Amino acid sequence: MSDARVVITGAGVVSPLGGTLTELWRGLEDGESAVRPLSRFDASRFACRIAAEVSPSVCPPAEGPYAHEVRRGGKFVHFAVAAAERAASDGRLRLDGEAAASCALYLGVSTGGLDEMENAVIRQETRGARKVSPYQITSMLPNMAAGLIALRNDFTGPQYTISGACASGSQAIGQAFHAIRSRVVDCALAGGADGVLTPIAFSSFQAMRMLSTRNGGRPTPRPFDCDSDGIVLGEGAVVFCLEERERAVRRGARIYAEIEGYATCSGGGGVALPSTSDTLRCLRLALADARRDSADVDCVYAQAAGVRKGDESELDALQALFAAGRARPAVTSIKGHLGHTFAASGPLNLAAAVGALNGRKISPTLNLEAVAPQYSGMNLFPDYGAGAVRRCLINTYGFGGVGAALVVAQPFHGSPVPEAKEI
Amino acid sequence: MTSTEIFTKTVQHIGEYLEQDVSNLRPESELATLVPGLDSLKSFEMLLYLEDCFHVEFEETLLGRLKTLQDLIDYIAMKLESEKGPASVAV
Repeated sequence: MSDARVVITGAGVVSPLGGTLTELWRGLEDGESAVRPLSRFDASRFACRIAAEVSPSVCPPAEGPYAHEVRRGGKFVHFAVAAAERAASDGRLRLDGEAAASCALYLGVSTGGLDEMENAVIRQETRGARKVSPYQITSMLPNMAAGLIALRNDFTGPQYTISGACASGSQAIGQAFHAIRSRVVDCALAGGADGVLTPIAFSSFQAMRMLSTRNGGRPTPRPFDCDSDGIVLGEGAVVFCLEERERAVRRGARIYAEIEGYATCSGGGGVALPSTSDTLRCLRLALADARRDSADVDCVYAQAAGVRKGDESELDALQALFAAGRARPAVTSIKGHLGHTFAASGPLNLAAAVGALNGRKISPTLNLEAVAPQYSGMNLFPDYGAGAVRRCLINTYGFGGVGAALVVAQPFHGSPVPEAKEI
Repeated sequence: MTSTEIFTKTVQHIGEYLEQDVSNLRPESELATLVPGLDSLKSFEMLLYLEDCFHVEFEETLLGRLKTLQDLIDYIAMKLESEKGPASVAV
């Protein structure tokens, strides 16, 4: 049996720029930054006191089945449950009963319930060991987001939680894509979620000298920019409905885009930095998986988060990737708008790419003013006009040497649009 | 605090914890089936909440030994009483 083609038929968003695809796209297009002084806790003792927070109005407390357990979970659980249920609703995808037999759930989670772990340690040390919540373990387990999505929706199909640091979300989407393409399942909910805005995250990234310390100074973070000084922490979740294309057409589903390729690789320049050669290898493998060439790529949604070494390593890889052809695809990063959202960063890149593939303008790399001379030949300041984007490449990298890349294209590009029918 | 006052306050605090109306609770209500969906983790957490409300500390194995809400009321009364004096009475 031939490989299935895989399309995106729904999306659920919980982001610092809003709770829908449209709000996210509008914020990106308008060059809006969600980076603001941190409001969740007093950050005055930290060198970095800014973040891209998800507003409570974007992700109100859960209601319905297992609402109590969701509320006791880490932020990543709140975000993931909301995003997954929005995706299922947007894609009109049923998760209960017979529907689950051909569906799977793939969720990428990086730090899990770090926030709840920190709270528990403080509670233990200040009030005593027996005052730790009986929900402590379940609040922080990385799989609890997928678990509660399933329990709340009577979903009985397979669920997988993938933890590959910041590449987790892209890996989850990629693994779901491969499972559908090889006809193991017909559809999947797939995405990533993280909620790391907690004091221990600020002190830990501060210890790594990774955080931007421009608190109200020059706009930050500054992906690709000569004057970048580090990342800004963000949070959120994005979950997609992925579906075998013919099934989606038969049921008359709205088709946002087609996922064509995916690769994930190991290797890096240490535990916290990518290597140019490994990034290049991963991008090439993703294009090969899509049976595409670098000349077929119109836009790259990059990992670039504002760490000079990491951003330049990625640019070196992209420069090498596109050196052979004449194409100069646009290269952009959305971290200036959203901060670094960890496991959600790849899925947020995919959500932005889906916008560009559906006629939205390519979002400019916010705060990028000047690149190093060796990158002057790259298309980092493209004409941000709408349309004409047929295919995007998404690059992600996670601590520990985890690379993941996705190739996503306009739906039905190069083939006629079949007649849609309700089933 | 009288047993009736403890009952009233306990029901009030259970309602606060569960964020629902539990005015239907009676002294003879069984703890195991106090409200729908009150599983073991939620029961343990509810006891922590009641500890904070009454400023007492329950024994770890308490739930397994109590059957009704009245048993819990009596236990809380005993704990409150024991706070006043040196003697501690087991249930």
